[in-house]
Amino acid sequence: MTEDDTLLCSESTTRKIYIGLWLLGAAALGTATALGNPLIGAAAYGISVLAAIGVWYSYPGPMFDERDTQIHDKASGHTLTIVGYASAVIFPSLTALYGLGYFEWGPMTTAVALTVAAIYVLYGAISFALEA
Amino acid sequence: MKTVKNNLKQLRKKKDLSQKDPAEELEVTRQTINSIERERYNPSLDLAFDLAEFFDCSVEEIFERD
Repeated sequence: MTEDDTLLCSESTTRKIYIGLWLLGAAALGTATALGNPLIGAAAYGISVLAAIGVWYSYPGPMFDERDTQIHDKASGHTLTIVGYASAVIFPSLTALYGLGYFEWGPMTTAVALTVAAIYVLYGAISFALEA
Repeated sequence: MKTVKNNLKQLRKKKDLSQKDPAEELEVTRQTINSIERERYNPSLDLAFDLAEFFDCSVEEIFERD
């Protein structure tokens, strides 16, 4: 391992710790809530996020930069594309099945459909604002 | 997207610098410098000009089209 590789490990490890703390907090929130302890989950999430912010501030250099922004932009774009194509098939199909009496729109599927619609409305509004 | 060729690593070694040096000076991560050197990431125009300034050369002396 070269000197550069050693330095990269250190930076890489810090980034992993930062991201890991956010994921740990989210997992704790979900797990504790599912187990009937929402307050414990919220507290664990808060502690984890504060620890992540502490790691962010204590790191001497930039933890993320333009390369991460590009990765994020690409990942967001691909995610929206995949969800868009899936939605273009799934929701009309469910609506057709509903019309035929083979499917009922329950609270969960309705919530998912409305959330997807809201995401695309937001995406459209932000795209419009950025282009203006 | 095609990645342009570059000789950043050679320039850096010539000046006896680590990846940490340009990264700190230009306020990017060492991973970004590493990715550029390995031709896995095309930097922004802004960073390309900053790199040229850091190594005291022109952008064309660092980057070239494949």
